[in-house]
Amino acid sequence: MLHLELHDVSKNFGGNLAVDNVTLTVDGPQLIGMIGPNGAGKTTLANLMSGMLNPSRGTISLNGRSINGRPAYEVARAGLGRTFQVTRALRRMTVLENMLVPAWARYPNDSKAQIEERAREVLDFLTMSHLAQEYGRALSGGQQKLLELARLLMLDPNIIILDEPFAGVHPRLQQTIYAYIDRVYKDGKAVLLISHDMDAVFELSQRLLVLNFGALIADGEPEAVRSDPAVIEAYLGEDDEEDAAQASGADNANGAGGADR
Amino acid sequence: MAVIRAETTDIHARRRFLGFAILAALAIFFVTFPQISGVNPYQKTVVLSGFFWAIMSASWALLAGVAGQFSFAHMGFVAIASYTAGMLSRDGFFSISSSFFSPVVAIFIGGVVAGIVGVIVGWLLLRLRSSYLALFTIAFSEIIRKVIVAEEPITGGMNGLSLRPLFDFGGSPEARILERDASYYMMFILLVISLILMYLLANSRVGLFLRAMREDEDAAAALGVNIVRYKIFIFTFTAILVGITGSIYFSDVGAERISPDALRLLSTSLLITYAVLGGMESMLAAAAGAFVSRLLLEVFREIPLPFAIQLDYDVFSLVFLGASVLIMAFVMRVALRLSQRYFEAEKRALNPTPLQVGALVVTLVIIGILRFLVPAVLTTATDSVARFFDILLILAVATFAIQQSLRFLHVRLAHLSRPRYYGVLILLFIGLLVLLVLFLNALLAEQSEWSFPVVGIHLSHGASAFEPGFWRYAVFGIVMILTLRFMRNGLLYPVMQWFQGRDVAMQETVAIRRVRSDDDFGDEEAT
Repeated sequence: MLHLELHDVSKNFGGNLAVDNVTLTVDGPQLIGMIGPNGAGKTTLANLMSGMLNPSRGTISLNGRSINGRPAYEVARAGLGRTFQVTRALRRMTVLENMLVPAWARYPNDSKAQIEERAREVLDFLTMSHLAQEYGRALSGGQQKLLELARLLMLDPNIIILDEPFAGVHPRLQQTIYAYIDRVYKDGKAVLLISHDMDAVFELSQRLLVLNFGALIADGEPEAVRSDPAVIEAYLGEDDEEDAAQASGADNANGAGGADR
Repeated sequence: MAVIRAETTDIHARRRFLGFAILAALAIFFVTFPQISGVNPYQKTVVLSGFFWAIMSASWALLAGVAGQFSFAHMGFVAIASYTAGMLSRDGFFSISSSFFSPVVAIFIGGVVAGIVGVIVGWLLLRLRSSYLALFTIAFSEIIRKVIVAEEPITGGMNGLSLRPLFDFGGSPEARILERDASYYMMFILLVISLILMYLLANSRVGLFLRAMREDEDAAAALGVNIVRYKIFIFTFTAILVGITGSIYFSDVGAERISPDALRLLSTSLLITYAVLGGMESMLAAAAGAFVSRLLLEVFREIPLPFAIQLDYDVFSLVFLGASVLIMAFVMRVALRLSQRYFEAEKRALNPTPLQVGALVVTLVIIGILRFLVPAVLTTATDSVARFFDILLILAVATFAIQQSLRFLHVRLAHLSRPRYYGVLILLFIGLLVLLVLFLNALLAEQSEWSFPVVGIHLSHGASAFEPGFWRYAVFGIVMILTLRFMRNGLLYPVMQWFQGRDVAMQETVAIRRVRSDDDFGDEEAT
């Protein structure tokens, strides 16, 4: 069961409208990319979906149940997991303990040994099994990213929101994260990938959401979105204005993607 | 890798066995302690209060070190439970007569009431973190203290309230001894039970969630941890635990009566200090820290120091405590800064710079002026004030002397590795203090009456007006400062880590990494 629905969701902080009337549905396993300029409301939207913020207006429902006003832990246990833009490893706990937390929160009756076995398998997959006994604070930035992904797998959610998983990550580590996304998708989960890495987003996603000033300005196949004039104006074409005159559509988007980094 | 892991399990088992063996030996010792001939009731009481503070500090370690709730409300819960028990067994409750509330029932109800207040406090604290939480709990504790002081007809005010004795075997001397022993074993059993309970809790699923909450509440919530429930739970749990412990302690087990003094910020701060000294993240370490600290503080009360400075400690004890801790902190900080500077610096001057000498002179002049000015303005306690400034003068000179001698030492010790270097430094510091005391002792033996007319200090050999019982807190402060500077996780942290086999786990990590780095990264790219 996998169904997330946002209906006319808005969120404002004081006078700042961070998310503006967003309506979207995630149904069944799919890889969704979300892009938008800084301050477009991507992280706010992720916070709304994961229950860390309450929408000012509109309703969000997960698997047919409204999650408006529900605490974050309930949303997590209901099957929506997320990572954070700035990694949040539990620093004075070992990697294994970090992974025990979500697993035990979701499946209280599993034995510690059972969970640890699963955790070791996940760590193996993410090439960090040797770090099992290491404290969270001792990990490098990239390892902390991997740890967040590993924890997420232990929570066993149906929908995964990855907030900037590629920020500050070495290309080889990026390959590991690609493999991870591939794996969870094949496991029948939906992945919402928030990223500024255009290459990654276009390579991975089957569906692309574009946010600008809090509003969802495009939602559809990456190729279609790429040639959408509104998107080009708001995001893709913004970086190189000289090129915008001569090139348009797909080529332009690629150029912008390259320049973006 | 498999070999490494097998060895690891072996080492873990061995260390765990050793740990349990040590604990068992300690337990046997404490069980037999009251029966050892020559142990007097006073010593039993001291050990008993050590047990009490061990429970207090250990439960605070659970609250603050494991769950991350840096609370000052601990003694508040003790007071709520004890006063509830005391008032119930004295006045009864509406139509229920006081005879219904036997000590056991009263203590039980006291614990329940403390637990209910714990629920409320936990709920009120839901949105508060770190410093706000500390402020809130200080206020909570103060409110309770003030209410107790104000409601004299009900609570007994500053005089405190007697609880019905838990053990009452009649008035004969033999019964008295029996009561003391029963009290001792009661507290000991309570300590053992609460340590086991807290250990089980901290190592359970709930304990894991509590630690996750300590690290990052938002991240823990995103991982499915119900922060609200566990925050309220941990406050309630510790409130009930310390409530019951406290009301037992004050039911003539450790103390005859509870008074608002038990709620003073100082006593809460001390119990926190004990836990921090031992190590906040382990209840056992915190309990050991509290027990040993209590014992040492008592021992320092007993041993008379060889020189005597007269000071009205009743008037000035707290001022002096604060001042001496601050000054000592300053001395240590200056010493450490100097040590750092000279450890790395190329420049190796052996003599004090003009600036330092100037600073000393200025300090002496300022304190000197105050020394004559302040008593002249004041009408009461002028002598004490003057003596206080005299002490400051001496401390300033001592600071300078210590600074300079440390500086000299740095030049000589600069080649040592850092831990050794600091170790030598601390040993020398202690040695210097001992030498100073011995020197003064010898000096006083020569001349039984010694007075500095200008400074106003009268040293007289043999007189015991000097209160070592007071100075122990200053020493304690120094230990605390050094602990925070060098071993922030507590003095017993390395020991606890060893018993948990952290070093082995680290070796394992390094070993696996070495093996992996040879062949593994190739595979990764292939997949």
